[in-house]
Amino acid sequence: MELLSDEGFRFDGRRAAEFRKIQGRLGVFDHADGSAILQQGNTKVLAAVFGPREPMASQRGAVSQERCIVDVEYSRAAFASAERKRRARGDKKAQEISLSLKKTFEATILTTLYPRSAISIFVEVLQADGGDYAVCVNAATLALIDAGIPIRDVCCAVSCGVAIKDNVAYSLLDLAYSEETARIPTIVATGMPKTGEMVFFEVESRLHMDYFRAHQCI
Amino acid sequence: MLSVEQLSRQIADICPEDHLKSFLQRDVRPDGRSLDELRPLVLAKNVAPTADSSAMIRLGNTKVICGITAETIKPAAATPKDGSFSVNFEFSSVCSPNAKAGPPNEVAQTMSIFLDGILKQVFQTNQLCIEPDLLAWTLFIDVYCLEDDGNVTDAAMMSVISSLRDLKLPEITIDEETAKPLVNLEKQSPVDLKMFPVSTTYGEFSGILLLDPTARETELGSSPITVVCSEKGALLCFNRSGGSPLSQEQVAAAIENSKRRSSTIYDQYFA
Repeated sequence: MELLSDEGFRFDGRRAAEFRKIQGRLGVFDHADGSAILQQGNTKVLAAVFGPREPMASQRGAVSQERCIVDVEYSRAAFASAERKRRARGDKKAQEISLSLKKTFEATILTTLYPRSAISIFVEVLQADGGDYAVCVNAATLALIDAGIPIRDVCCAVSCGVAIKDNVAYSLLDLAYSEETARIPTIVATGMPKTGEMVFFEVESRLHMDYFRAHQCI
Repeated sequence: MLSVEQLSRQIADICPEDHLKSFLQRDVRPDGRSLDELRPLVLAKNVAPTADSSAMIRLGNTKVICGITAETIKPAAATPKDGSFSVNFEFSSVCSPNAKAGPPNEVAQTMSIFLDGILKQVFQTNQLCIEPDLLAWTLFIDVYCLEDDGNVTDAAMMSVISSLRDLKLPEITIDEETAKPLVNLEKQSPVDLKMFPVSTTYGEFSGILLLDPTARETELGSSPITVVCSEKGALLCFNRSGGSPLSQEQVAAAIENSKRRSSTIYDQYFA
């Protein structure tokens, strides 16, 4: 599959730096303090936020006098991907993603305002068509805004691939599933737009440093 | 200065039983419904295009989503002419603030067994056979409760039946020479349901039956009653697990209402 045509179009007709259609709604759940549903292209994620509230018995050990506990749980519907995959809740992949999300939001939420409390963020992927992690971060941020929890800045994430055409590196933003599986170097970056700070950055493939520097603008 | 609504909600939190009783004395419920009135029901089809068929039900604030994925397997040795299906119900982590990672809890497992039991009565697995002893379909029915405001049972049952009704399986023939399966995506046919079960749940509070209970009504009462009837009035399931005793008249009335409701729901959504 050709990632970038000669005219500069991707497989779904987008330009290299073009995002998929973004649709979202806040306040979709009655019982959660904040909730959001976010869809980027065909990737659909639900996020719900509970808190600040009293920590549960299982969290008592982590209660801090200076800040609140941020607890994130990520799960994915069995029918979310094209091939059905039923993962038990709390399996390794889910735990790894939950941990990265937790670290991201610990840095985003002004935790010192709520000592001895807990904020729980739950994320459920209903449809996975690429860029799942980034959409999870974005959906969770929207849910936090809906809950009215003070945050340092709006935390946004994007998945990006590097396509090399005629020795020039192009960033393909907001990857779809077929682009993610095309074995190109992919970067997932989470940052805060106003301050320009990066919160989370992950590259899981080999990428030449020359091409990396060209992508600092993400 | 508090509004009447805010005051009412605070009283509901402080003395919930008295709050509910005061409404029931006037034959109405806190959300304005009569004792046998349903909350607004919304059925949305094909909400998860990655599944082979899907449906989402919104019953008031209760939201349940079901997705069915069909895969092919070799039939079990004991039943060479049968396919299979498995129902998996879970409360999604967004559903409850006290969600814990790990296997589904007992309420979820009970629900899976309940849905499975009903499906066994209305759905024959021999229609899932492609080639005896060689290839058959297996259906994975995944149901997730996204928000629980009471009566997840009825919503779950309806989401499963709606998804099953919309499911279309492509025709598969076995090539005689190569013994390999040939999939014909042009020809897709629906599965056959012997009956359309509709579940009707009543909450029970101080001997009064409340149709389609909210979460608050369920937790204040003793255990709910679930009656499952087909659209033609066949009784498929009557479930009451403990709770305060009911009179025979109440049981008979509940079953009669459920039969009527089943045919109404069928005419409205599945006919």
